Amino acid sequence: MTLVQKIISIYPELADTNLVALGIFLQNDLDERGDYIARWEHPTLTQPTQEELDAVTE
Amino acid sequence: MSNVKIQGNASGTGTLTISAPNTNTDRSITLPDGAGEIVTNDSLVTFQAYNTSNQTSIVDLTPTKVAFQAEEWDSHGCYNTSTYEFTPTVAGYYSISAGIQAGHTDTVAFILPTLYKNGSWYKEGVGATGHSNLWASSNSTWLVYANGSTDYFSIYSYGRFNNNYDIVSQGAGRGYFSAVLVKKD
Repeated sequence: MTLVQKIISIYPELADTNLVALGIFLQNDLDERGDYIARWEHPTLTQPTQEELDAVTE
Repeated sequence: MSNVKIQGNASGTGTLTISAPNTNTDRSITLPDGAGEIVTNDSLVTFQAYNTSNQTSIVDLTPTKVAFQAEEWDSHGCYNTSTYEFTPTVAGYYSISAGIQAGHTDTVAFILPTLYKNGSWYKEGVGATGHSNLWASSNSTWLVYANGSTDYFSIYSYGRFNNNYDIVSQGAGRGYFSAVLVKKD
């Protein structure tokens, strides 16, 4: 699963939204880090921890 | 009557030579009535790069750096074809442009080129929608300031698709990233 799919799995209300407009900035710099959360400024939803993200499986 | 004064620099040792062009016509040049430096071609930083291959499987809703691998020109060696970053070496105001096109199978899709400064989301470009038989394509231009030493810029693609998408290449004509100094600091 991609990072964005994991985030939407944790927060289904984010499906079909513009994450950037909601203050959630994912990023991929074409380096070994892959997709990551660059900034999380959502007014009510807290940023998922790495453990929460790792726990999401298909 | 105002005067023209040419003044040497006590610290330097070089000789500044002002030369006439090969011409038989009398001409006059009026200096600007303002303080500052005369900008020469030598300080006009400009580059243009383009993508030479498709950048595949970019993830929906995840701003991803666009790889422009080849240069058409790079006046001051400020563009890095490995990191895809433009780091101008002259401080001032730059016009930066980028064009990208997404290849996708989605019936309807959206793409937004975005200018990143120093690795962070900086200015959005012009978003564009596309269809499976007419792919989303967008060109954007930004006017930005760079300090001439540490500031660097790159282009990211932010897409809204149901599936992963590609940034497609067609030589230097489709995906490009360019900049030119418009006002020296």
